[in-house]
This record gives sequence, C-alpha cells and structure tokens, in this order.
Amino acid sequence: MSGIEIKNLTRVFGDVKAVDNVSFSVPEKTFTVLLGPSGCGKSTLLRMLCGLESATSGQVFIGGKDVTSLEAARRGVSMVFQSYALFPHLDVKENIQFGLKVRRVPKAERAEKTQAAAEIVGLSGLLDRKPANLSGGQRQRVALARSIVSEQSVCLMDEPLSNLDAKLRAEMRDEIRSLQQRLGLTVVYVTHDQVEAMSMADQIVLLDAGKIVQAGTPAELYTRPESVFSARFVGIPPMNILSIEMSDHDDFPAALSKTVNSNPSIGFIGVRPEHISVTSTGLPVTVFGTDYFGGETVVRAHYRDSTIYFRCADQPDIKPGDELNISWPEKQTHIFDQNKIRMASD
Amino acid sequence: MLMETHKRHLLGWALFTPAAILLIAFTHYPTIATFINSLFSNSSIIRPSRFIGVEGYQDLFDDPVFWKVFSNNIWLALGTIPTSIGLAIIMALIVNKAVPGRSFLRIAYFTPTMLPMIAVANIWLFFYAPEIGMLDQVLGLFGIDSHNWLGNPSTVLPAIIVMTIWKEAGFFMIFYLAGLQTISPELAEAAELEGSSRWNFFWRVQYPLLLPTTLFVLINAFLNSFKLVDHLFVLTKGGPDNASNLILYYIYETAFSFLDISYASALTVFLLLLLAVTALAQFYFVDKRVHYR
Repeated sequence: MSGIEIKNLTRVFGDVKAVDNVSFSVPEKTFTVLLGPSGCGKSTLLRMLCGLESATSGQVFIGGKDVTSLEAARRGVSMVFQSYALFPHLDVKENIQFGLKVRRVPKAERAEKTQAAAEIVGLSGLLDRKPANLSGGQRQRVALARSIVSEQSVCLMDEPLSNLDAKLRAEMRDEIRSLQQRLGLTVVYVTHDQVEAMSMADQIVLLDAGKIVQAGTPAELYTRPESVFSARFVGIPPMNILSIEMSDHDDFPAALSKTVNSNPSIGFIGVRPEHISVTSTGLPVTVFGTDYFGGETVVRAHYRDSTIYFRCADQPDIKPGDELNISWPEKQTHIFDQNKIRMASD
Repeated sequence: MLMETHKRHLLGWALFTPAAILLIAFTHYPTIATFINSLFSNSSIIRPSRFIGVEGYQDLFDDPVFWKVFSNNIWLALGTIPTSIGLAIIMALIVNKAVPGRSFLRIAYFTPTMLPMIAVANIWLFFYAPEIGMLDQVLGLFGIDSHNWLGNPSTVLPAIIVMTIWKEAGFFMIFYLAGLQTISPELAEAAELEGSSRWNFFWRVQYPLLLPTTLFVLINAFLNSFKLVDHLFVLTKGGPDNASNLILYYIYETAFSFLDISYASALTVFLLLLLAVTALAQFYFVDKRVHYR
C-alpha cells in the first residue's frame, strides 16, 4: 500500500500562502505530475509530502497512514533532487549506498543491492567514478539508483530533468516512465514543463498561486480545460483565446456566432492551433510571423489585439504581411464565462 | 608604429614601477641583505666586519637558547592548532544554522581576531595577573591559592597557548563558515531523507568536504604560530628563563637588545627557510591534492 492522500494541505510563509488548501490523491503505482509556473507552490507541496517542510495545516497520508508529523526519514519516501544532490567526495558506488550504510545494512547485501540498482539504470561500468567525472545524464542516473536502492515504494522527483539538454531530457523522460512502471513505483513529479507532464503522467495536478486549478489525465487537461489558465498552460503553442467583447461575432463560424449572440454570459472562446484552417471567409487575420518545423509550420497572426497561432502541414505559401481568413469546426470551440471558467454547455 | 610600441612600453613600466619599488625596497632587498649579513661577522669600531661563512649557522645549532625557543614554538603550534581548528569547526557549525541572534554570535566569535594582538595581550594580562587577576579571583572563590601564571616557567607557555587559541579560533571559523556555505543544502536534505543523523552527516559529508579548508587553515595556523609575537612584548618578554620565548622574539632580542646583527641574520634566514618550505607545501597540497573536480 503506497497510495498518497493529501487533505486540505496549507503552507503559509509570512503572509503569503505558498500552498493553499490543496487536496488530491495519488493512487498506488501511478505517476502524478505537479505542474505549474514557477512560484505556484508545487515544490513546497512536494517538500511537505516528504517532510522537509512542515505543513501549516492539513494532512498527508502515505499508504493509509497519517505521516503529517512524522520526520522525513520515516515516511517511506525517496527523493530525486533537481541538482541530484550527489555527494561530490564519494564515488558512484558510495553515493548509491549512502542510505544503506546509514541504516547499517550488512556489507554483502549492500554490494548486491548497489550492483542491482546500478544495472537497472545502466551505470555498472562507472561505479568507481566521482560525480565530477560524470555527464549530466549519468549523474541523474546515480540519483535514480540511490532512490531505487532505498526500496521505498514512493519516489518524489523535483524537476529532475531541468539541468539536462533537450535530447537527453527526452531520453530520460522515457526511462523514468518505464522505470516507474517496471518497479511499480508511486511517483510524484514536479515540473514546470508541460511536455514532461503530458508525456509521463497518469494524472496531472495543475497549480497556480498555491491552489489546484485542475487535476486529471493529460487528455482531460488538453481536451477539456477547466479554465483559461489550464487551456493556455497545456499545449504548445497555447490555445488561442478570444475575448467576446473585443471580437466581431460575425467573423466566427456561423453556428458559433449564433451561440455567442444568444448567451450573454460567455466571456471568452478558445480554439487549439491545430483545429484552425485557412478558409475563404471567416476571421480576418494579418500574419506577422511563421515558424517552420519541417513537418508543420506554426503561423503567428494578429486578429485585432489578439495573437492567434495556427498549424499548417508542411510549408504553406504564407508570408508575414499576408491577410487571411481563418475558420474552425464549431465543436472544437472551448467556451469560457466572464471569469475565465469553462461553461458546461457541451 | 614605433612610437606606439614605445608608448606601450612606457605605460607598462609606469604601471609596474610603484609595485616593484615597494617589493624591492621592503621585501627583496632586506631578504638578500639579511642573507649577506648572516655570512659576515659584526663590525665594531676596533674590528671591521669579516667573512665568516656558515659559522653563524653553526652557532645556531650549538645555541641551547635557540633550541629552547624553537621547541617552544613547536609546543605552541601543537597546543594551539588542533584545539583552535576544533573550536573553529564547532563555532562555524553553530553560526551556520538558523539560530536566534546568529549575526551577533558571528561577530562575537570574530571579535578576538579583529583586536590587535597588543590589545588582546593587555586583556589577558588582566586575566592572568596574580592575586588581582580575574582567573585568581574566580579560583579564589573555590579556595584555590593564587598563582603567578605568567611568572612560573611551567604555566607560562600553556597560558599563552590558551590566549592564542582564543585569538585564532574565530579567524579560522570564518574559513569554515565559508566552506560550509559552499556545501549545497540539498545534500543535507538528501541525507536527512536517508535517515542520516547530524553526527553521521557531519562525519560522512561535511567533514570530508571541508578537508581543503582544513588543510588551508592548518598551514596558515602553522605559519601564524611562528609569526605572532606581539603579545610577548606585553606579557612576558620571553621569560621567565626563556620559558615563553619564541623564535621571532628571540631574533628581535638578538638584534636590538644584544646588538648581534650577524647571528640575528642567521636566525632570520633559518626562519625564512622554514616558512618558505611550509608555504610551498601549501601551494602543492591545497592546489593539487585536495580537489574533487
């Protein structure tokens, strides 16, 4: 039993609420990502989970047991730090078995477990190296091995990939995800990178200003954003949001303009860049830039004061300065009220 | 083109000269002059100076007072260095934590280092004075008889060792504090999660990571134990019977009280060699050996 349950957790620093009445649960053997912009309280939340930070109020349950007032070492969690937190004077082997030594595990057992963990992360040949002589990715693996060897079923990760280059990051994403599934770990993973969240998570908990904005599977967050914040945080380029007040409704697809005109509480509409296409009539926009990515091109255009991104296959004949009309299927429209909250119309 | 080069040379010399004058006048020339003096006898009105070669250095090895002050110096080093390093580490660990009044504590620990050695000696003279001194006053409350701490050959060196520790430990604390602050706080958190106790963390992580600091401090402390003599002028003048005399003070006495410039020069060259060897060891070890990167 290693599921995690967070109940009404709050952490106050001075008069700032870093984490504000947060509740969610992490089912056993699943991968949950705490996602949000920097300063949203995701790291503080993680640190309260493992006991490095105390909670102002609320409770943390791990495996059904209330661990809120338990010290970090006795909560049954391991952690991978952003900077990896490797001991620079110890070689890889000593780094991996640091905790085993603390817990006075017999020597033979220690060696066996260290070897096994090193093999899992592919470090077997590097056990005698000092951290300074390892690449970023290898250091990351040492941190993972240290976490594996502790044999805790809950593993917490604080932006573990942010110090790696893009290629390595993609590799390690796969590796961490498959490791989690192979070892049946319950992982809570903090990141501000929505690509990591989308590609790894079973559940994403999106945070802003200490509060949960939305929690759900990556697909739920992408296809049914609960608010404009979720809509714009998940997805690259972000969802296009148009203010009703600032738009001419007649430029919208016909059925949509009817809906908008009949419902005065609608404040904003949103549409994903991949659902927009260039048409003969529709929203008039002026192109101001194009980004060619090979398989697709992202076109950046202005509609009045708003910026609109849309995707085109391959390399369309569009240049900055072009004036185009765009449209999208009505059912791909996300409708938000005046407070930027999703409206339960569909 | 040629003018340009001339100008650049001129500028180079202009920048170099002030530093060169100072270095040559106050470091290089005196060193060389001292070495030459040590090879010649003292001149007087009736006997001019003559070349004596290494005779001065032979005298040094036959001089029981020299061996006495040299061993005093070694005892001073042995008595002060380990204790003040130990205290420095403890103080640094204390003020590195978020304890209440931390900046006050830091200043308090560092104050003895900021005081001139003469002032320190004056303070401690008051502590050590027989009958009226603070130490005797306090001991008197427990019925312990008065001691002449600085007047007794068996207590004078320990008394000076205690004072030197008081003066030095705060200085070394600064280096340890700097060393501790280069250790990432995440290491402490990682260790905490593994269930490592404070002592275990100190012994397995902080202490090894402070090894470069320790080596640096060790060598500086050793050099300091030969360089610090100001307090002897106030406290003991090297007495009684050279029981607290140190090499540098002995050189001063030889040169300016006994007016034996030749022998004083030989002593100086010996001390310079000793310090130079130590400094070289410092470069070698600190720069090459104790590095993790």
